[in-house]
Amino acid sequence: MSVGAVAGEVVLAARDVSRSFGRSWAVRHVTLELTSASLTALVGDNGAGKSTLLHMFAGLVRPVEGCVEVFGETFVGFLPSDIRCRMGFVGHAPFVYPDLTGNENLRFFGKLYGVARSIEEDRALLTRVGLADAGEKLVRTYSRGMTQRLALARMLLQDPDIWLLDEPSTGLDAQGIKLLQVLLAEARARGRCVVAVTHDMAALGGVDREVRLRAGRLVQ
Amino acid sequence: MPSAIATTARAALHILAKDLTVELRTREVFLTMSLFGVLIVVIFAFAFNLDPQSLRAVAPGLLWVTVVFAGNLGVARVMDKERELGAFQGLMLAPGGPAALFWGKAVGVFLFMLAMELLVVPLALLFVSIELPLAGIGMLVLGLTLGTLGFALIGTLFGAMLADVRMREVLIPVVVYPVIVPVLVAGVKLTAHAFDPALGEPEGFLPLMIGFDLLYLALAPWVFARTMVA
Repeated sequence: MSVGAVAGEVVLAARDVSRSFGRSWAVRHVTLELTSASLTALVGDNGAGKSTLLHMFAGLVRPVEGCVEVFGETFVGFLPSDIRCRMGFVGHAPFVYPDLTGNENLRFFGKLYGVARSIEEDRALLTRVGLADAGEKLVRTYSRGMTQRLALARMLLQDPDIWLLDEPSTGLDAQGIKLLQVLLAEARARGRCVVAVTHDMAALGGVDREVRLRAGRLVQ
Repeated sequence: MPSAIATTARAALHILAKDLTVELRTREVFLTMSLFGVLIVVIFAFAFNLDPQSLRAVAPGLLWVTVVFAGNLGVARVMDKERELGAFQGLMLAPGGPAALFWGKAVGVFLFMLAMELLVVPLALLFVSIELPLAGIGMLVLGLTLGTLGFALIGTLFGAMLADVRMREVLIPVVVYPVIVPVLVAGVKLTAHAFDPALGEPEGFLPLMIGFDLLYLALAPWVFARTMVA
């Protein structure tokens, strides 16, 4: 169980959030509560506002109306450092460096997050995500699926309380999708609040809740 | 619990160390800037066929045009590396946040530019046949270091702000150069005094450059944090 979170407790919420880009609304008046020890899928057509909502949860996109609530605190826009530390984000882009090896990427992000880790621990983490033999290779030489596995490892080393995932199965092969399902099930069992934007519900391996967006509005 | 400043400083150092590791491996930023700088110097050397007196008059400007043009390429490359697999957002979400990102990148740009200048400036002096008196070396180094600092701060600020903008290669210099005009003017004057100590003391230009550097040091990270967060 995460620090300070009780199973079923609301740890993340959107309160009447809206966001427009130019004249078009990406998200309109969305109110949504997400609890610890749960896996929620954000689904909807392309352009429905799923990724924008996820970015608002992460504080990367500022709502023009409404606010985001994280661990009971209210925010509009960028989140403070102590809250960011408790959130993990795997976006469309994997947030890694192609000119570093897999090991170097993990070491860098570990230092950045102040997570003291041994080389053996990094190696074990890479083995966990199926990159045991690729740790010393430059990420530039990785396939899309391997890079996605590394992105998951980058988030795992942070051991966040809230997981925000944007199409986490992108590029993953059958084994990678199995791995993703195991990771999500473990996260939920350990009390993490997981939110995943997806077009492939099966890849998540069963969710507690499905939230559908259409044209920026919550429909389900 | 580490203080916010300590967290930011530590994160900035990690970002800088990561950039240095990548640069030592690829030499991409240094080579891009240096090759471009050398090219400009060679073109100038062939384009101008001047007597020593006239050369001494145009050489400071030539040197600074080379530095800022090459520096602009460096800023763009440094930011491109963050954009490639979206790592920029990853750094924004990390504990150090925008402040660490700014300082890590600005110090990196500053060091990469100094390394480029170590190669390009002596070559420039050689190609345009300018004699640098021993007494002028200190002034030249001081002027270049302070000017490079100002450029690195403003270049990093706008380079990051425009990192996701179309035609950023064009836009970065369009917004950076007007802002660094005071530093550029002071740099040219200090360099002119370095080449010709007979001109005497550069009077107000050194304080002008230091003053603007201090202004950039105070404003650039503040503006960066606010614009990136917004």
